[in-house]
Amino acid sequence: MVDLARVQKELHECNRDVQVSGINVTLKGDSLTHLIGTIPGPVGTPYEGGTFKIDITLTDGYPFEPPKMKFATKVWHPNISSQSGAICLDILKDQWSPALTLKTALLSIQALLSAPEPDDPQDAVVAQQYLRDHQTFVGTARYWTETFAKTSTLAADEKIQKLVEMGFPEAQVRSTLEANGWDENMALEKLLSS
Amino acid sequence: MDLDVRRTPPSSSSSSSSSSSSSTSFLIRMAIRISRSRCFSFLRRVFHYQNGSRSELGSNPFNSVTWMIMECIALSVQIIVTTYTLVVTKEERPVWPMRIWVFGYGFGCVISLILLYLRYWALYVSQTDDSDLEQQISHDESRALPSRMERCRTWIEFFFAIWFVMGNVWVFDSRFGSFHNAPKLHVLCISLLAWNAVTYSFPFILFVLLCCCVPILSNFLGYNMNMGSVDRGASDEQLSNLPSWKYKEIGNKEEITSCDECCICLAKYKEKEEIRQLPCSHIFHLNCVDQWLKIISCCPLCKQELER
Repeated sequence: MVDLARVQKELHECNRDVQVSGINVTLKGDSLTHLIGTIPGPVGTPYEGGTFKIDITLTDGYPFEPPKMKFATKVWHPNISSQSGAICLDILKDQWSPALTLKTALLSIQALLSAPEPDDPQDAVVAQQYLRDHQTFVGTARYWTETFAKTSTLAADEKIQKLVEMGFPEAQVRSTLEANGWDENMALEKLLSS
Repeated sequence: MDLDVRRTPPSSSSSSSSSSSSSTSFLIRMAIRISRSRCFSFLRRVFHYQNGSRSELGSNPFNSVTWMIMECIALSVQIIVTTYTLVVTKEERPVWPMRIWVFGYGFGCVISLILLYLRYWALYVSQTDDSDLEQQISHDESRALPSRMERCRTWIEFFFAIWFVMGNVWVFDSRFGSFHNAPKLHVLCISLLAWNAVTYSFPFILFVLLCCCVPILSNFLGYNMNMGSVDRGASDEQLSNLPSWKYKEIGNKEEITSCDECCICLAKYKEKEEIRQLPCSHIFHLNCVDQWLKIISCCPLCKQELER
């Protein structure tokens, strides 16, 4: 069984200093075994400014087995699959230790973003590009960050702006959009019916 | 070494290619030189092993004198036994194919004995000097005999295989009182069939024996074949050697040196909870750390491995 008490504690710990670390862990559903972690892209890298979502699944052996983590946001990085989001990181595999926590694992992933290891790649194409054509790699990584890791904030602002222009109060618009998973049409229907 | 090859300058190959006959002879000589160089000796061995009849002395274990003597003994024993039984059991009245089968088997044995002698003669008497490949090529006709002999050998093996199957069918099909009519012949047939069965299944038997022997041997020698992959956990004995005690709130000096919560379950130590200390002086809840050490025997905090 998953050590639920520990997971509770970890969530509490993590969300206490979210302002400092920028790392956030939230529940995906009702169960404590499916979580979503968010990490900010490290400053000074092509991932700067992006917010990356990481899908976390805790196996029954947790904390004696590593949590299963993969990127839900598309990332252009030698050690992260551009297709599936699978992460190539030793502490998520054989170097796991029960003294590590979700937060430290997410911090390690953040560190991996700023220090890629192209010699042990997960995505061979990206690793090749990283080694042979670094300029293009930086460009692509930045483009992917702009496109996939920033959409939520940019698009959200746009959507709010749109609905506010239709004459709804901004607070109501924001809460309705959040309740409907940022689906513009659904939120509009809700707003009109209320 | 391949110095031989390098010594011939590339210009010589282009000049000799003008006339086709000289170029082919050059190529042959080249091939011979290459094949003689030591770095190809392994390949040559493999080649010769696969083409048994052309092999050098001793390169094929089935052409060694010891093996041939063993074959000779086996064949002679079979021939003697069959003739003896056939002579002794003249009065016996077996089912009709049995006597034919025994006779045919003995005949096959005689032929293979002759072939064995021919093989021995071809390998050890006629080809006294076959160390030079160039000479071998010139003496092409000397290899005609071995190749024909090889074909004969294949045929005789084929004959024995068929005869074995036929014998099985006849002997075990005609068991209606044949044992009472011709007990000696019957016993001979069965023993010959058994001998054949053993020789045919010899590779399989060898394989099974190897499969049994390797684990036993490795156990005997104390070598763990799964080392490094599976056996990373600590044994119960190792765990019991580690110090442990009950936690006490006040006056516990470990409380001062390290933090007051178990980093595995992230819970604070409570009064009378069992604590275990690792050689690196890190402390954990006994239950938590034991569960981990059984998976991988190193400290969760500093990765220091436990002594074996």
